[in-house]
Amino acid sequence: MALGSALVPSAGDGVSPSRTFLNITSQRRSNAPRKACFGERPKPARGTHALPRTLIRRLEMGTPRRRIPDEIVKSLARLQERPEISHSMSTHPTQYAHPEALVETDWLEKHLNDDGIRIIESNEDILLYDTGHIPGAVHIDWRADLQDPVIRDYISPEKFARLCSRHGITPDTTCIFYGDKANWWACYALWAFRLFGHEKVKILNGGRDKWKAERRPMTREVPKYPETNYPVPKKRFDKEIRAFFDEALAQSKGGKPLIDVRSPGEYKGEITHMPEYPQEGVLRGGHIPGAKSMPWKTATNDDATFKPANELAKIYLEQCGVKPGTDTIVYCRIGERSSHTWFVLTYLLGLDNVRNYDGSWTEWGNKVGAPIEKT
Amino acid sequence: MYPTKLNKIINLFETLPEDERRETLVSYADNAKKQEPRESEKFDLVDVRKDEDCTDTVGVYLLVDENGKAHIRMTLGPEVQTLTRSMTAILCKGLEGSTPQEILDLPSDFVTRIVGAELVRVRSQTIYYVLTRIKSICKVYLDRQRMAQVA
Repeated sequence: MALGSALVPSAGDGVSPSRTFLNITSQRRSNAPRKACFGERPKPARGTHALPRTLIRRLEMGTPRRRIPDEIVKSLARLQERPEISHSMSTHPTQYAHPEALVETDWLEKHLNDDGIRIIESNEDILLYDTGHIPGAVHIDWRADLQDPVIRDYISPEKFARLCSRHGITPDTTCIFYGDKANWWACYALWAFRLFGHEKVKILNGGRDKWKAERRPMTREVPKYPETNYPVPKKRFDKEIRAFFDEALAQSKGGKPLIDVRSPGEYKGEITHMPEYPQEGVLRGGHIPGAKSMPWKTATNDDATFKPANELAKIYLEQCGVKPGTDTIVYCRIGERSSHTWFVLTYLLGLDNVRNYDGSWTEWGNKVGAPIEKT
Repeated sequence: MYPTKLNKIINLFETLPEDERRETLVSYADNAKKQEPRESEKFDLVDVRKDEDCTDTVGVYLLVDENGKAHIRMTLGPEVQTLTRSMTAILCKGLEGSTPQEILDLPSDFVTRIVGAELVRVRSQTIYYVLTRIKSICKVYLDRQRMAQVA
């Protein structure tokens, strides 16, 4: 069955970012000194398997297997061998699928000087880092550092390697991202790092807002780290975690899950810019036909932390109709708010095959021939 | 072309290398709170609102003295971005003592000379917001003056 097999890393398969994640997890779990850093994956509660409960019950009760298709039996067996996988695909999870993808403010304050981590601040407010930041944190500017200045695209693998080297990052460095706006831009930077295959990435739960609200230390001192020699990534994982216009169009025509994470006004076509933001040059208002509206902020609490797993599952699996194993595309205006939702779906709910359409509404809304819907 | 105080600030920024420009902008942002109304001050016009072009409430207070010179004070909500704070302090200081008409006639091209090309981007267009609000209150003031004269 696709659900189970999609997440089971096959031998030698370390290509797809989403697949490699489980490999990383197992390495981390065997790395005793880092246990506190990455956390233990909790055992799932009974009855949280993604397979229908009736099938599980039939197997447990010894119902003849011939009545159940072989592939499902094999998948279920795999799930029982690897409880973390069944946990990650649960429709009623009690824990995040990848709790190790988050760090809490309390933990970070105690580990500011740990070797092997790099704290990275990424904000919408371009001068916010300069006004004060977490001690030891470096700044990555979503536009100046991550976007190509000429082509509407991300930087080249060579530039990414230079960026990491400049900040003393190696492929083994655990990058902990945080920022303003409940980690919008932090998730965007994290997604961009995953685009280049950097595996060890985490988000500071609650981001800059929570850190500051808790009156934790801030500094204006800009740290300097010895330059590293980050190898140039062999490829960019566009195909795996990024969607382009044609793919979003196919998703729309195929009736597959598309989530529009903009504000309701933008979705309905009543406004062509974010509330409280200037117009950014979109000709038409509305949304991609078939897209469900679920503003990104629905996934966060008032203190900018992520909502618990069961609430997230209710929002995305029940209300948005996202199904494990099905391709899902998320979008907003330029791909930054949808990076937040991509992180929630991929890391907190453990869904495979989620891609971020970063062309988003600034492309779709202006594109000649692109259909739109207004409701 | 520009009021003398504003011109001095523009000239200062134009001589700064990028890192010092950022530092100076942050330093101005730190001083934005000092531009708030003082207890004893009474204003001719007050315009406090939260509108669609800015992330938080911005208040503009205009006092025109007996010599026709404008004195501007401003209040900013906590969510207002750093560059907007910087521009608030720069404009309150740079326009201090100008007449409302001089402020209204002020071209906005100096903003990029202060902020620098690297920091001007789509999501930082709100750097023009403060100037727009200051001009707006000056326009209302002048319109009312003209109306009063006609009456």
